[in-house]
This record gives sequence, C-alpha cells and structure tokens, in this order.
Amino acid sequence: MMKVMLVWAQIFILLSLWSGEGSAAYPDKPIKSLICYEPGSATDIMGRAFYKHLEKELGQPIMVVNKPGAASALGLREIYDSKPDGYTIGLSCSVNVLKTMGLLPYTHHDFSVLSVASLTWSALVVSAKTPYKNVKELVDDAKANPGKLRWSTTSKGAVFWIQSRYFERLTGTKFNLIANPGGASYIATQLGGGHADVGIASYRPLQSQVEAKNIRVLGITTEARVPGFENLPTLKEQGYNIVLSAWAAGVAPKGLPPEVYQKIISTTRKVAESKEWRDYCVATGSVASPEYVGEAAAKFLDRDAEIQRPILEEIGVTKK
Amino acid sequence: MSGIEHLLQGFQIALAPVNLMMCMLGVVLGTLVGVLPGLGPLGALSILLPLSIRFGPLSGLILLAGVWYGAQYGGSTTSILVNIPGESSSVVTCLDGYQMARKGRAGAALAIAAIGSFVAGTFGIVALQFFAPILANAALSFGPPEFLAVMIFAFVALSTLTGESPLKGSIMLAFGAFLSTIGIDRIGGGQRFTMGIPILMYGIDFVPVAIGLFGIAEVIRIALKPYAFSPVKSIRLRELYPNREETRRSIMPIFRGSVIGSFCGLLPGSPGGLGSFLSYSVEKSLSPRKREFGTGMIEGVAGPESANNSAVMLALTPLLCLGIPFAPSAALLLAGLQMHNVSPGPMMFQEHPEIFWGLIAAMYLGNFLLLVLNLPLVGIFARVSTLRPQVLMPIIGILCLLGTYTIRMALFDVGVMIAAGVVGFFLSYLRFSLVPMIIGMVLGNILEDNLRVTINWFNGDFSLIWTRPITLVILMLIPVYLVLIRLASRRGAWQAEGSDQTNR
Repeated sequence: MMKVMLVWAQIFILLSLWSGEGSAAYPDKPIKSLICYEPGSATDIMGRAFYKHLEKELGQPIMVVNKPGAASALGLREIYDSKPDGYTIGLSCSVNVLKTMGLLPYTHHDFSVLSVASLTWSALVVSAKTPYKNVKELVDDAKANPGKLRWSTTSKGAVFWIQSRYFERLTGTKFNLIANPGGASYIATQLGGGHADVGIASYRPLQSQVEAKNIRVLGITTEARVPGFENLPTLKEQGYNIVLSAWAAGVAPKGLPPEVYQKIISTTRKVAESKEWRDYCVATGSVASPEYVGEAAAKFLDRDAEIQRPILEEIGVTKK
Repeated sequence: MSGIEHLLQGFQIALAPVNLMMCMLGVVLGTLVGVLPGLGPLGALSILLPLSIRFGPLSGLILLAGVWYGAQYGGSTTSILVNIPGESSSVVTCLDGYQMARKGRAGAALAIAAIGSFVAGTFGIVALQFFAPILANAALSFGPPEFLAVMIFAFVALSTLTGESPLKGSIMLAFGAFLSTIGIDRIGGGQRFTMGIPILMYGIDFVPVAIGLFGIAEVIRIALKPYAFSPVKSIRLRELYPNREETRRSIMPIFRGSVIGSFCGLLPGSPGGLGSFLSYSVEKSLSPRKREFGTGMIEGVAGPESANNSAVMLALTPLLCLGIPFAPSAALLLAGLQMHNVSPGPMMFQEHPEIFWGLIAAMYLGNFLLLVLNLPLVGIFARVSTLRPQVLMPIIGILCLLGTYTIRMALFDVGVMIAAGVVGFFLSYLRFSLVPMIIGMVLGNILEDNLRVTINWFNGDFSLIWTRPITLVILMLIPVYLVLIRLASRRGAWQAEGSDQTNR
C-alpha cells in the first residue's frame, strides 16, 4: 500500500514539475533587454527610464545589458539569434536602415517590432569658442571654408551621423566629420572642450555643458518651439527646414507567441500613455508617442525608412 | 560656507540611517562583485540601477558608487589567492600577488592590498574634494590629440613589462593588439577578421581571455604536476599579516600608485586598469630588484592596487563637475542621477550641493568600512591558499566557467576562455610573458580609435600640432620619463649595493 502511494506521489510530483513550465504566465522570470548603445547614452537612459515603469506593469524586473557597436548592428544580431520567448528584447535607433547600409542583413521586418515610445529632438550646437550666434553664420562660414570646420559625430551609420550628413546636404556645406565611437557624451566633451566646432545630438546629454556656457545651441530640430525650452530657437524658424527626431524602437526576435506579444504590447501602450512617461519625456527633450505600439510602430519604421533612404542614397552609403 | 563646513554637513547627511545602509550594502556587494570573476562592476551597476532609484538621488548614488569602488577591493582577492583576475584592473595583481600566495604570504598580500586601497581611495577623495572643478576643467581640455599622446606615453611606459625577451614581448603585444581588432569596427562599421562567422562580429571580449590566460592556465599547470599529498599547513596569526619589511617596502609604491591612478582615472575613456598597469611598470622600473618582479614582490601588489582605487575616485570628478561620464560605470551613475532629474554639472553645485558633499562624506565612510571589513577577512581568505590543489582547482575551474558565462551569457566566451587557457599554458611554458598580450588587447582598441579620430581631426594639416600645447608637453615628457626612470633605478641599485657593503 505504501509503495503504491509512493509511486503515485512521485508521478504527481513529476507531472506538476513538468506542467509547471507550460502553465506559467508570461512573464515568470526576469526579462533581458539588450540596449544597443553605450551605458549612459541618451538611448540607454531613456530605455532604462521606460523599463522602470514597464517593470511595474509586467511584474518582473528587466535586466539591461548594453551592447554597443556599429550603430546597434552588433546588438541586433544577438537579438535576432535569441529565442523568441519574450525574455529577450532590445532597443535600437536604426533597425530599419541597417540593411540598406550594409551593416546588417535584416530589416525591422525580420524582428517583432514592439514600440516606439518617444521621439527625441536634436539640437545643433557649437562650441563656445566659435563666434557663431545663429545657423546662418555657421553655414556661411562653412561654405567659405569647405571641409575645414570640425563636426563631431557618432559612429558611421548612427542616427546623429545621418542627421549630420543630412544637414550638410540640405545646406550645401561640407564639414570635417569626425566619427567618435561613444555617443552624445563624447560629442559633449569634444564641443565643451573646444576640440570640435559643431555637432548635432539630442539635448539632454548636452544640457550640463550648455548650462556651463561651454556649448551654444544654434537651433533645434522641431516644427515649433518646445514648451519648457522656449529659449531654444528652431532650425525651421531660421529658414532651414530640418525637422528630425531620433527614436528608439523596442524589438524582439521574430516569432513571439501571440499571448506574449499581446502582453508586451498592452503593457507598453499603458506605460507610454501614462502621465509619468509624458512628463519624463518633456523634461528630457522628447515627446511621448504612445500611438506607435505594435503594428503601428512597424508602420512608423516603414515610413521613417522611406524618409531616410533617399538621404542615405544621396549621401552614398547604401550597399546594393 | 567653507569646505570643511560643507564636509561636516555632508557627513551629517551621510550618516543618516538610509544612507549608511546604502553605503554598507554598496561596499559589500561591490566586494562580492569584485571577487567573482567575470561579473564586473558595470554588470552589477546595471542590475542595481532600478533598485537604487527607489531611494532618492543621493542614496542611490551612494549605493552605486559603493559598488564601484568596493569592486576594486574585491578584485584583488581572487587575483592573489587563485590567480584569477576579478576584472581587468586586477590582472596585474595576479603577477606578484599569486606568487606571494604560493610562498605562503597570501595574508600579507591581501592586507597590503586592502591598506593600499584605503590610502589611495582616501587620497583620491581628498583630491576630488579640494580640486574637483579644476581637475574637471583640465580633463575637458583633453581632446583627441592629447589622448593619443597619453596612449603613446602609456605604451612606452609599459614597454618595460616585456618579460625576459623584448622580441617575445613585442610578439605578444602585437598578437594582443590583433585580437582586439577582430569584430565590427566601431568607427567605420566594416567587419574585420570575422571570416564570415557571425559570432566573431562581437569581437573577442578581453575578460574571458584574461581569466583563461591566468586562471585556466594555472589549473592546467597544476593538473600536470605529479600527485603529491601535502598536509594542510596551519598558519600562525602573526604570519598572516605583513611583516615590518614588507610594510616598509610598500609605503612608497602606495603613494606613487595613488598619484598614478588619480591621473589615469581622470582621463576620458581611459581603460579600466590603465593605472594599475602603469603603476606596476613604474615600480618595476624603480626597484633595484626588478628581475624579481613576477616572483612575489610586494611592491607589485601595493602599487597597482592603490592605483585602482584612486582611479575610481577621480573618475567621478568629470561626472560630478561636468556632467560627463568618462568611464562606462560613471555613465551608469549619471543615468541614476538623471532619473531623479538631478543633472550633475556646474549647476549641481548651486542647486544640489548636498549631493556632492553627501557623496564625498559617504565615500570616506565607505572606504573606511571596506578596510574594516577586509582586514579581518584576510585571515579567512588566506587559508584558502592552503587548500589542497585537488580541492582548490576544481573550485577555481567552476568559478571561472560560471563567471565567464555571466559576462554576456554567451558560451562563446567560455570557449574563448578555455582556448586562452590552453594557449596561456603553452606560452608560459615557452617563456613568453603574458602581460604584453593583455596590454595589447586592452589598449590596442583605444589606441587605434584615438589614432584614427586624431588623424581625422588634423584633416591633413599636421602643423596644427603646434596649436596643441598639452599634446606637445605630453610627447616631450616621454623621453624625460625614460631618462628619469633610468636615473632612479640606477640610484636604487647604488643604494642597494651600498647597504650590501655596509652589511658585510
């Protein structure tokens, strides 16, 4: 009798262990996120801030691993190769154009696009050691001395690099583009110390140098002046129709189970619509965009790729 | 308010129960993180960041900073006891620290490392406290040409570490530099030496290689020794701590290490461990017994370990004063602050002075806590080195395997570590020194990046170098340094000879 009971007990235990895996709701363990940029960079900080809210909704911590390099191509490869179980996600600002540039054999259609939770505007800044007070003065001087002024930017192919080349193209100027691996913090150092003359990057990393008066803002890349930063003129109002936003797309490997995908999408939307997120965005020089979640985010990336592609072709960095 | 008053106010804040708790938690976690091979402070900081936010900007900062400098204390423990570098800045400690342990002087090495770390850490905090704004602005004046000059200086200064044969050392250096180029080029985006293998695009991470070259290679070496039963030696308490001579010999290296580490910590983008490498090189060059380095010289532990700790303290300077993180760990601290809407930088002094002073006070406390924590533990740790190899080596093996995996959750890294272990075993059998290879791997990337950025910067007009006074000064210091080192080591040799003669 005892033996029979023992056997049944063992069978029950085994069954419960086995079924335990299948019946657990997502997420039942921490989620890993590969942020494809340096720790402390603008995307990294935004991503971590977003995850802080997202964790609460999901009920599981999100562990961030930074994997910078080649404009997020390095990290995206790893995301592509990982298991589509919802426990590996990532953040990239260039996922829709890397194939065009020959840095990655995949487009955003080869991933599950989760969201684009905020749009960050950039600021065109110059070192305080330069005499330019507005964009026109800079452009005039650049036209008079092509290739001479130093423009500090990030890795070839990264968002700020594309924005830099776009500026050159639109204004018909040529600068000496100096690519630094290292994101907006490096740009801030270069310009703050006067080692470069001009650069374009998101505002937050530059802010303390602007406040220290080592860097001057010539214009920002929005449609109209931004509440909270009214003293910053736009490029558009100075006659240069350059409206650009950096965004960070949350991605995951393709082939997520439907219920996992739905869970991520609905919690992401909830966080992106929240007041805390909106306030955080305004304070950091961005705009919350809860409308770009799931399918809508994928369409946004399609549109953005279409905008970027002619720039990339003009600039000549596309690889057939 | 004068500086002292600010500091006292800072202490008041730092001694608040929450902050004190954060400080203790931070330093203990940091020590643990440093001891575990593979997981470095950066990994731990990323994990702790969300937790630290709950408690307010200062408390969170105290916690994270504590982890960061605590890790420098812990890293030396495994380096000395089992020849495994806890993270890149502890590699150099393996060289002489482990040899001391094998001679039964593990306790002395650990104690000197702890004391040196404390002295250097305090030195760093004092420098930070009094000279923060000046130092920060000085750091800002380093542009690409300056940093390239510093890297060239570092390479020259480190060239004394070639081991027995300069030729073999150069081969190792070149090989290490070659390894650092594998992967996707971080500036231009092209692929180098990846041979179509996707996983190589990530490049070869330095930490698995270091763990393999030192830790795994040692395991293999000991495994190949004939079996011998050695009874467990009991260690007398007095032997656990440094004797008078060792203490005397450590004083100058600790001070020199503090200064060297401070400079290295201040530089933008300087690799972790640069200070410890330079300190080791300086100590070896200055010592009259330079040939004995690598067999258990206490100077080779005292200097580098001090350099590590002062480097971390000074690395906080640009962060706090300019709002610019120069080291990856500093970037995380920045993120932590910004999440509370505190923007470090010049405005922080005016708007949130309590954060700066509270942190400084907390760092003094934390440094002291670490010393109090580590010194008694020296006795326990030192007994590890008396374990039989049959027991110790499997434990080391497992620690290495697990630790390496935790770096990136990649089995590839574990494979790299094992391969490095085999290679390291053969290399040391053939009397190639491992240190130049490490230097090549760590500095190769950075030297190359800076070289390319600098060339871009000059834009063909190299006469611009005359507009960069700092660069010129650094370059001119290179021959000056070489001459001074020669003179100093000669003087040391004369003194040693002199004392030999009077002793006869």
